[in-house]
Amino acid sequence: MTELPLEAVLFVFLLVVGIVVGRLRNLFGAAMLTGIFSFLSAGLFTLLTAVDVAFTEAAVGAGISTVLFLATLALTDDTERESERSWLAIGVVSLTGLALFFGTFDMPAFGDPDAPIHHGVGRHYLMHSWDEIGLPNVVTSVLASYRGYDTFGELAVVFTAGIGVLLLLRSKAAVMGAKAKPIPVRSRAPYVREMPIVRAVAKVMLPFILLFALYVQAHGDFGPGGGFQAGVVFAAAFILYGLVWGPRAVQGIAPERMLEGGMAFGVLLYGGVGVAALFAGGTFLDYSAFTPEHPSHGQHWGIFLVELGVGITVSAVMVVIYFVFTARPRPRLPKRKKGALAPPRLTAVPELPVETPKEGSS
Amino acid sequence: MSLALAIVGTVFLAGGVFFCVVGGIGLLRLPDFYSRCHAAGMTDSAGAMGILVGLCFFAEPLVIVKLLTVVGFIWLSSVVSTHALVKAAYARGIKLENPRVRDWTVRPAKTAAAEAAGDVPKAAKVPSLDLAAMADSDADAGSTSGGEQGLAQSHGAESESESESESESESESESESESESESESESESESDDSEESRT
Repeated sequence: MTELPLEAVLFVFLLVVGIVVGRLRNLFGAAMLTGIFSFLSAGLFTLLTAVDVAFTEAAVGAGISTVLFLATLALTDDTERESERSWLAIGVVSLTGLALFFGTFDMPAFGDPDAPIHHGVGRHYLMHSWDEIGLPNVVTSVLASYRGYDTFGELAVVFTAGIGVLLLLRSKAAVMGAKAKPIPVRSRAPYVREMPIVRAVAKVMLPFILLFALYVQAHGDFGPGGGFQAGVVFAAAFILYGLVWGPRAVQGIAPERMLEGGMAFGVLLYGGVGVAALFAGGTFLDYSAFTPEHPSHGQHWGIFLVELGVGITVSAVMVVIYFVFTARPRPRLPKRKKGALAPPRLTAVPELPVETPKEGSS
Repeated sequence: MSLALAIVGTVFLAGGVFFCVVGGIGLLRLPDFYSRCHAAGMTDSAGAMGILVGLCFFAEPLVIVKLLTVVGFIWLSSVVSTHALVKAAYARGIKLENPRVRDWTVRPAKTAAAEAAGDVPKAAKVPSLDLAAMADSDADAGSTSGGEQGLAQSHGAESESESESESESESESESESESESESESESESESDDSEESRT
């Protein structure tokens, strides 16, 4: 009860940020504000002790999707065009919003003990997951074992998104790190990799980011974390590496074929575990069938492998999406008005004529 | 003992909150982009440090280690991001507000010499745009640290390729950076926009 004012403050901030995002014409600012929106949501989830969800929201919503927004802005313009105000659209949106608003009146009050969620399977999960699965983190038990089908579906969605981006956006001319004409030094802003301090600090932080990703991956059984978050953190390390040393350097350590293989391999691993459970005599994704004499051991193995598959696919898809976006040549846009701000070009940096010799190679 | 710890922790917390509030005020009130960056960076470093270290006095040993790790990473990442932000803004020609502050990266002797030779009239017209000075300082830093040969080389051909690089930049893309022909109003609008995106 003591936390209610903080929640109210966060909700007010959420509302304000949402309105500002809707009204802002500068898309760069809007992208940053959506990141803030995600952070506020993550704070709210933490207050509601939904730490796993908060972690995912912070990593995916505030981290990766902001980066992807910026990568998109590097390909397009960063100012929204003025368009005709369509009353039909406003009417449809308002009606839908009103319908959703009235829908909330049917929802049970917050913390209501009679709410349907407390009487269905949720009760069973909370009461029996320790005996059946044996993991301290019930969220992981539900996500990877009880609702393994749903998570498999989510993973397939991520995989499909990766394939869709590859099919739509990859062109022959835009292989990763394609040769772009170098821009003379004096007529452009410095790239990140030309700042020695940034290079040094990035080099210090990269191993810790990777280590943290592995920790999140492995520790998901015991605390907040799991494949989705770990995959995103892992991808963030690669994206940082690419930001600082250029897309071609990333291709050196993670070739495109490997990433594409990883995308498919994770889904295959997940499904393969399910099929293996079938062969072991259980139902699809019933890990207890692996070790019938000691069901929770089988559950541990199954959940570990399944989460690994999630992590591999998610990280590969994120890295692929990012680099497909940044490797695309910038299309020619219509001439902007005088005084309009040039969009930030954080990502799609062409290679330097002379790569940094010693430091980049290590 | 625990009372003493609580008092020290509260002092740290209050200091952190103070720096956060001051940073927030500074972000709104300070005149130009660079001083606003200073305010924002202070929130990240001093404010966050104060709050996290203050929380250490109320925490268990393992949590203390975690909190201090977070402090370390915030000090690395946010300080460096402020550095990169300011450097990029400087290279794109965002100006200092206060005319009395002398821009130390401008080298008056060289500028004067180039002016006398008559090949960089724009540098004289817009003295604080400083793309050339930026490249200079970059090249200097590179040659001392040994990692910037590319920069140093491409900058070495500076004197004869002035007009050439100018036209090249225009054909490359009109939007890559604020090229030197853009006027002052542009850089002003830019700083406004950057402010929006930060707040």
